[in-house]
Amino acid sequence: MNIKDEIHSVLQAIQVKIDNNTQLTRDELEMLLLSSLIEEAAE
Amino acid sequence: VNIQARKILIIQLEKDVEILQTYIACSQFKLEHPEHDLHVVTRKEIKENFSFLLKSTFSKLHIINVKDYFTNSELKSARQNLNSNLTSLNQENYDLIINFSKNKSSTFLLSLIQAKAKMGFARNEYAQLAIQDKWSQYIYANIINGKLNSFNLVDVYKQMLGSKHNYQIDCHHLKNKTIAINPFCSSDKQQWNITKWNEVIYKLLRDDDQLKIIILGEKEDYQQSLEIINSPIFSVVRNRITNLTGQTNREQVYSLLMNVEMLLGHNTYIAHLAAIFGLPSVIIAQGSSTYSHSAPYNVSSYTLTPKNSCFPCFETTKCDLKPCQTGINHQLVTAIAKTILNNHEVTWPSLSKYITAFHVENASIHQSNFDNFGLQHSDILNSDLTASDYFKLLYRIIWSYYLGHIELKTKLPNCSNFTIKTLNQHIEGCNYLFELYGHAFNFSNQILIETEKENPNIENIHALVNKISEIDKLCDITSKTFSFLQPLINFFYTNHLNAAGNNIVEVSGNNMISYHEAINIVTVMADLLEQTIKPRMGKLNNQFSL
Repeated sequence: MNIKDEIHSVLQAIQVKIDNNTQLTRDELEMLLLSSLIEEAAE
Repeated sequence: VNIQARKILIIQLEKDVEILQTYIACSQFKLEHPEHDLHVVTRKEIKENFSFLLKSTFSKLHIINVKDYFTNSELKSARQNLNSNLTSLNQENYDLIINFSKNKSSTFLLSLIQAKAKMGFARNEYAQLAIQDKWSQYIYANIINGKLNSFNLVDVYKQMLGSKHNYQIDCHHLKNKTIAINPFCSSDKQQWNITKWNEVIYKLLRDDDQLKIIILGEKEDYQQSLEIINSPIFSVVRNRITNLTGQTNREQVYSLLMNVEMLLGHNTYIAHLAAIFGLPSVIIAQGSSTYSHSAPYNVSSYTLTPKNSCFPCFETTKCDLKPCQTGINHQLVTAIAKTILNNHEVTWPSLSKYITAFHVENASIHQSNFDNFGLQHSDILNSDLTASDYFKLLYRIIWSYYLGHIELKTKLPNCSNFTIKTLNQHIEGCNYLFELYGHAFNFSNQILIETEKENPNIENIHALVNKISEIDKLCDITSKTFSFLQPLINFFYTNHLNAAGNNIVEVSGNNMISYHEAINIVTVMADLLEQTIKPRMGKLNNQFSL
């Protein structure tokens, strides 16, 4: 799996938790920070 | 800030203009409270570009740089690198962290660093946006999602820091017959037509054979700068134009600005750098440029805006015809520049030596000055205020008192009969809101009464919560009918949506306070509207009866 697909699949799993109103772990919040930094760097 | 803060971290992950606004607010706070230790976390390129300024106010400049995390092509190592960056921030043991940025990454960052107190946009454990302090709620409701803000962000940041004093920067007086011009900006809608800049440059150089002009801009503006410099109208005066577009870093721009008499340009970082030492500036703000919150923090600046009803639009608003381009003409900009160069105050009598009333028909000239709250703008032509401008003024009085505990004493200016009619209509909207917030207050109270019972009825609580949701919908409808009440409705919606509490009792208690405050603010607004209208209504009625 390349890094893009890996990020995508991790984010998908987190999105499922967000949609189900499930509390996120610190690790998952860190992943969301990383993905938003990537998004902003691409802008 | 009601805490004994000693070590404060400021998060600023936005761009050049925002870091300069943050720097000005923090440097003024530091003058007032030198005992506090200020740190900042920012982007790598921002640190590199502005450390020459930042290091005087912040004892540590931390960076967040996503490229540094991807040392190889593994997600695992990127996550580890980010984690170690966060760990080092957490080891600082901050007393207070304030997030002054509005972007997504900063909200997660604030949530991931520990501190005794936090302010600004954050995320809760469900990744939802959480805004606890009222000034940040104001930014969300009225700066990001509204058009009737009249506070400069520097003043809002100062309020969040707890800074009370305004350190006014005196006008920079240097007479060396050199003007800096920054005719470019990143947004097409905001940029004034290059041919108009050519006219301004030509007329200024033609009328003063000692004058020199320096053109400043970014690397990506270089092609446009050639359009200026190669224009055939400059054949005789070209030797007095120096094109430095794309050839200077931020520190060099700052030094260059210190050696000129005036700046003409847009609301870019260059104008904000000039504001640091009070360089007289003429700023063209059009399209989505919102001078009210992002104007350079400079009492020596004049901001020109078009009078189009659609100004300011949002960055995302589609605009093919660009009506803003017809608002501000080159004669007006040249006239203001000449008036400043001749050391005269920019007033209509001084401008009328160069232009006629026709030239200011579609533009407003806003002069920066200070009131008790901070930087504000007054129209030097003293035109009748539009309904929008009038509401901005009323909101400035209300929010200053409610959020900043500052009483503003201001005369209620002239306004047209049409504006008076609009103000009058909005009293009805205030009455609706008064009733709606009153009901919401009662429903929140009933929830508290129900929860205090020995066996609370969950169905009753659900029914009351649903009624409060219906009131939110009715408030939304009211904001569409009475559009100038939108700032108030948006703010209190954001406020009660973010009501603090770990259970329904705490949340309902805080909601009650929020609705109670909303009732008070609506009452004050209705009162201010009535006070404005009363003395003028008699005249208006007479005119209609005639």
